[in-house]
Amino acid sequence: MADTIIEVKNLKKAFGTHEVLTDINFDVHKGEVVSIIGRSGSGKSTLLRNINLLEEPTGGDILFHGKSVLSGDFDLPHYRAAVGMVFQQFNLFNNLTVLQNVVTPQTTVLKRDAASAKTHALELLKQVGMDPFINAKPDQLSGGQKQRVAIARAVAMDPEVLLFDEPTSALDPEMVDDVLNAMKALADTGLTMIVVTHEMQFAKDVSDRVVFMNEGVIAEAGTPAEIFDHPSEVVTQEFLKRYLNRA
Amino acid sequence: MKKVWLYLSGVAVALLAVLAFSTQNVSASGTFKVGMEAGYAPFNWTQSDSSNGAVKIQGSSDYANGYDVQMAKKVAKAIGKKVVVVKTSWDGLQPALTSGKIDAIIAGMSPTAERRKAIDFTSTYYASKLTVVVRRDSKYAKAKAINDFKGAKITAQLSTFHYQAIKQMKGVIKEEAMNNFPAMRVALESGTIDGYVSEVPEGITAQNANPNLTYLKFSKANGFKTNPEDVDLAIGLRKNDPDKAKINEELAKIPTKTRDQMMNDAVANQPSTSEGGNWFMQILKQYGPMLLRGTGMTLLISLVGTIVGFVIGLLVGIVRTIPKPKTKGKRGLQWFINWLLAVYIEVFRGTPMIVQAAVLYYGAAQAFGLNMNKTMAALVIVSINTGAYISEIIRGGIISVDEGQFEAAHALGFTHLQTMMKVVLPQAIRNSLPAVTNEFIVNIKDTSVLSVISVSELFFSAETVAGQNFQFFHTYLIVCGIYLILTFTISRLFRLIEKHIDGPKNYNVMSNQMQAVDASKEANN
Ligand SMILES: Nc1ncnc2c1ncn2[C@@H]1O[C@H](COP(=O)(O)OP(=O)(O)OP(=O)(O)O)[C@@H](O)[C@H]1O
Ligand SMILES: [Mg+2]
Repeated sequence: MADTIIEVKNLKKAFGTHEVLTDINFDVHKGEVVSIIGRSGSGKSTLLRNINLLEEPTGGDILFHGKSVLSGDFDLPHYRAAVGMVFQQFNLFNNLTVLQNVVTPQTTVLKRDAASAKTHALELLKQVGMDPFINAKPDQLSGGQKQRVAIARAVAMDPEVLLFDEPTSALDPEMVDDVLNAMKALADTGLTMIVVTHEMQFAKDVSDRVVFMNEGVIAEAGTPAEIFDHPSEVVTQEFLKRYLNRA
Repeated sequence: MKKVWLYLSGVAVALLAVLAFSTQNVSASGTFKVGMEAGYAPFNWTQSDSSNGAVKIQGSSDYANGYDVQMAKKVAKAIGKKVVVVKTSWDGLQPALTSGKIDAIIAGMSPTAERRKAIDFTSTYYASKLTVVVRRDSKYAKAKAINDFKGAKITAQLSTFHYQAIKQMKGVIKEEAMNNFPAMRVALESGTIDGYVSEVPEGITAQNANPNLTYLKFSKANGFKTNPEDVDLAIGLRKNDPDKAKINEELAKIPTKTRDQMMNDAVANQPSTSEGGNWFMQILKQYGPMLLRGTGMTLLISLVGTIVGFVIGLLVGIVRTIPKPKTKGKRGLQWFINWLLAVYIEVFRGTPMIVQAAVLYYGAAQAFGLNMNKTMAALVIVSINTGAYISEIIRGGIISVDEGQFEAAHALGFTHLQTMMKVVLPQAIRNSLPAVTNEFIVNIKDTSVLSVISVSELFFSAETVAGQNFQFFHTYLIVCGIYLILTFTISRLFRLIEKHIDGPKNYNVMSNQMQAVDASKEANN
């Protein structure tokens, strides 16, 4: 398929003798929204952290536009700037204000001049509804507000792919929608996204493809309709059943 | 990462340059550098003007005078040189001489066999007699012989023959030796001891200054048996000093009568407490400038030491938290550097600053002929010492920053250095500030040990003042106040800095874009 951004090939990750990812294969194409679902401990976060090299894979390869990101001469900071990440725990820089959180990465990593970085930041903060809070420090914000700033910060880097690791799991229920709406809006702009989530409705409505992970491998992958309405694997069926009961 | 090394080597080069520029010729010909405590009246003392033929103290605006100073002038004249007085604590005299910081010791020092091993002595320049100083109202004030002190608690100055002589007094309780005369006078007046062994001139002085004290005269048969080597005071010189013969020649020309006259003049001229007025104003009037200069020196050393130590601590803290590199060679290098830094921290945290100062100042001069300016040596020692403590404080501060901050920065494409500079260090420094304030305050107090390398900081000044006015309690009370004012001001100041870093407790919610843009200008400044 044309416009493949990321290819994950036979990816393995072990912590010591504990094999968390046994053999992962999947591609991400431009403009796609891929949701990754699966049981707690199945290796979803580990997969994302391997993709942007916060963890070092112990086997296999990751290709970015056809080039291996694991080869020694690969420009790591540039790659990471191109592959953004939104964390479950927000991880806003505590020493910086909301505005500085969005401006500083642009000026530091992309070497944008302060003025255009600021204009860009204000625009994105307005899109996520956080423009009234530009002078606040992170610890003066609610969780949902922090996560929206974190999204603006990641988007400000103009990434080719944006990874989300359970962005709403640490939020009180009433704030979840604000964040999901911001993500939907982003998906509508055509941004490529990989989203690890427990929000099945979001996975169903927004993604182009759903990946179900189980015990370090991809047990099943397909369109939302395929996965949610006609899951072929027993583990997928059991997982979804338990989820629907809970909801 | 490369940049870190650049910074580090830059600092190292700067330090070396400072060291190099602060070295001076070991012995500028034409001057006769004489070491003395300048706090052992009537032999030597400190005064604030040049009256009665006083000589300027090197690196200070104070003057030294006394029997030793007058004798130094005669001797210097004979060898065609000019006297420079280097104020040095007693323990620092010998290392100062052997390392070339001074040319002679004229400080009421006796030429003991022990000392002769390390340095040379001229012939006698004053012959003294041992006495015992007691409280005037005590039963020992009537003692006629050294054996009349049964049950008395007696002491003397540490590492002097005075202390050895206590053995001759039958039935006394020999107390721990004490550091200096002012301390013994305080102990005596407070009743901690009943007497201390001293020499007659010091006895006269103690009695003149404090009417509650008196010194005892013994007949030859009832007095101390002394070794002429001990009671005779001589000028200490480096071994093989070419001027020794000339100096001895000059000393031979000064008869006992002239010497006694010089001593009488010294006793008469030594500073005494002016009468009248309240003690507070009196001390401030007479010694205010001296104490103020001491305060300035203490503040300078602890401020510069803390700031430079902070920079050192920051660099060491950054280097010690660099993540493990991938290649083996780099890992080995990192291991080695971390090992060196660990050694630096352990050595400087694990040894007393007073020892470090003596090793750097005297040791470096003796071993490598490196003659450092003493203030510079003090700054270097306090900086390096503080650096060792602060690097651990900063390392703790860095470790305490949430792992998520590192991850978010790395995920955005920050390099390690950028992560440190923009995100981690600002938080680590903020978290470390209370501990750094603590270091600053500790430095204010700990600089007092630097008197060992003759730095006239506040405590050394206080010792000099108390040694001259004998108002120990009052003098130290004032100094106590000065220390408190310094430390209290600093702790308040740092609180303000912390508040400033934390920024306002509340933020304004921006109602429209224009306002937001305005505020953003401020926020980004
Ligand atoms: N740094 C680590 N060292 C050792 N084991 C780890 C480490 N990180 C993760 N693991 C293990 O890897 C497995 C997968 O963890 P991971 O966080 O990827 O799961 P997950 O699918 O994201 O779960 P959740 O839905 O709870 O977030 C778990 O068993 C976990 O204990
Ligand atoms: Mg997870």
